[in-house]
Amino acid sequence: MSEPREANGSTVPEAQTGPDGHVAIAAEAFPAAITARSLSDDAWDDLRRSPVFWISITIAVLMMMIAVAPQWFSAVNARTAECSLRDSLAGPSSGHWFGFDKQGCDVFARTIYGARASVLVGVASMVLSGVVALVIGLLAGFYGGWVDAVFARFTDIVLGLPLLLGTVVVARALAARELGIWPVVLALGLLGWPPAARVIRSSVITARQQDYVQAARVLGAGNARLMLRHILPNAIAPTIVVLVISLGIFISAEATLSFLGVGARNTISWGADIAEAQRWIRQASHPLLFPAGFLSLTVLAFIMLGDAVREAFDPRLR
Amino acid sequence: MSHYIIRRLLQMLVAFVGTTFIVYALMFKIAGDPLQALAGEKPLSPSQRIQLTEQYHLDRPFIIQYGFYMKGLATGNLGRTIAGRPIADVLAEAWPRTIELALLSITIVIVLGIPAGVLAGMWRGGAFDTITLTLSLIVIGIPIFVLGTVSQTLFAVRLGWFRPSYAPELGVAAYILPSIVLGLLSLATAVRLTRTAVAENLKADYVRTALSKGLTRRRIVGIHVLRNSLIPVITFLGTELGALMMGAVVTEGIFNIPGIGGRLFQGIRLEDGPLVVSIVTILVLIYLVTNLLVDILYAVLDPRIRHE
Repeated sequence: MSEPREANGSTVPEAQTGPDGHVAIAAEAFPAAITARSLSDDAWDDLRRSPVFWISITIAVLMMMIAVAPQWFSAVNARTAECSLRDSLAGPSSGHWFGFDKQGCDVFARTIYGARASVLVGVASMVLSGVVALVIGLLAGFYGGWVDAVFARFTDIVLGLPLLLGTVVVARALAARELGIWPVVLALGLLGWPPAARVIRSSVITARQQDYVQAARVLGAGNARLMLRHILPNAIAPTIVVLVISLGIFISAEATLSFLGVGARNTISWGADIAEAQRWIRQASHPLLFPAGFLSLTVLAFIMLGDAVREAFDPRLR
Repeated sequence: MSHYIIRRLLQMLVAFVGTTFIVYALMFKIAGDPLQALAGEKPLSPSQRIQLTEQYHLDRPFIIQYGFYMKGLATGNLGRTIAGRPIADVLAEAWPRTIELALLSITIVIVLGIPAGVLAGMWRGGAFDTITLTLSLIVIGIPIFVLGTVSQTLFAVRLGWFRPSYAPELGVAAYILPSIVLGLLSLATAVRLTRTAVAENLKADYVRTALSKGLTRRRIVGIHVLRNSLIPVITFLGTELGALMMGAVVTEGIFNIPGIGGRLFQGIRLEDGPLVVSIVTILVLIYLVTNLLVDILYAVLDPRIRHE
């Protein structure tokens, strides 16, 4: 066995031979500028400087907190509060910032308590559709061939059913069973996965052809290990982006379904409140504008957040 | 080319059978009691029960029910609403309004969206570009029913520029506000799409060639870049025409337009199951057919697609 130190010692000043005979090069041997920087480091650097990212993530986190603990944000509990018709459609005042709706309920309290339905449905549908998309995208992208073809036809069928129409049918059919938000979650999750699955599939195809994946295969890694340890981590950034955007879309869809009257019953929700307020807009518009504003802000926050993260992770835009 | 069309036609057929089957199965299987699914929480009289059972062949195996439904669809026999009106009559009456609304919307999208997108693409990074990008992102983020109800409140009720609900005596003018609301989302997407395509095409080699030949910038953008940039935009607009029909459910509902979407909106509120299933099926069919036509158009415009 030849001595590697003789070959390398003169060119790289601080090279050392490790116990297994490999040459280990001390990091100090290189100027700081070429230390390894991953794409995610660069992306984080970009994101930290983006005002859109900070604004949207603040709104998103705030809405999540309102959804989890509405009692921290509103002194009036909209679920138990007595509404008095004496206050019907009264405008905003110092004690009641958003005024009252037709039934005389406090609009601010209802708007705060309405966040939970939207955010919960959004997150649950995102998780469900994410799992479906991950399984289908991963298998279709990894195996290709007939597996891919079968999934492609299946995706076509689901895509042929526009999200809103499909969920209307499912949510309506299940409405009589008093299952709360779950029919809507099920419908959105089972019909909303194709965009995410397509993104995952194409990034899996890109990752699959990389040399390191071939190397792992040659070293004897099985398909499951290749997919989960080597390919998935490299497909995760675009997946997160598309899922964050889909969270915004699902929140919007939930509100639209409540607006149409097929959402969860006996639940305070922005969509249902907007639908109710729309009937009385000739008398007063504030019961409509406040929940509409909160809903739009939430949806916008998630879509902008996804957009900002995508721009940071897309090297072509640098 | 004919190979491509046949292949796409077969794919569409599979998708149509698949989607209608899913709709039908969801409607009748998931709810346990199919009659409940059709009528919602309304109590049904025994004669209505018999009528609905007969209409949907509910006493037969599921796959036969579906077969009868497809046969009805093919022969134009769509059954009756819960109230007893033939659904085909309801639809025939509603169609023209939805088509007028959708056409006006798509006109607005083309007339405003393409020029705005071209300008934003030419001045990439400039003030106009930044403003259109921000505005379009905001429009994409706001749910269409919020756009509809808020603009109804603002422009119709508060400012009085439009009527808050559909007034047939106004003719096309009655559709102005609803068609803007309906078209805004497509407008935002069309602007972004045109912008990206124009900005990318401006960097292409043929633009440099044209410049060095001494062509004016106006001619390069107006003839060469525009023609190449419009391929993705045209296909988008085609697909969007189908998608507008879905947006019409909300828009027509808000503005009380008695079109297909408005009927579906009412059908959902009145828990009229037969009407909902029929309209959903027909909208799915329209959506698939427009997608097919667009794919064929795409292949005509861009030879790379059909030789893939």
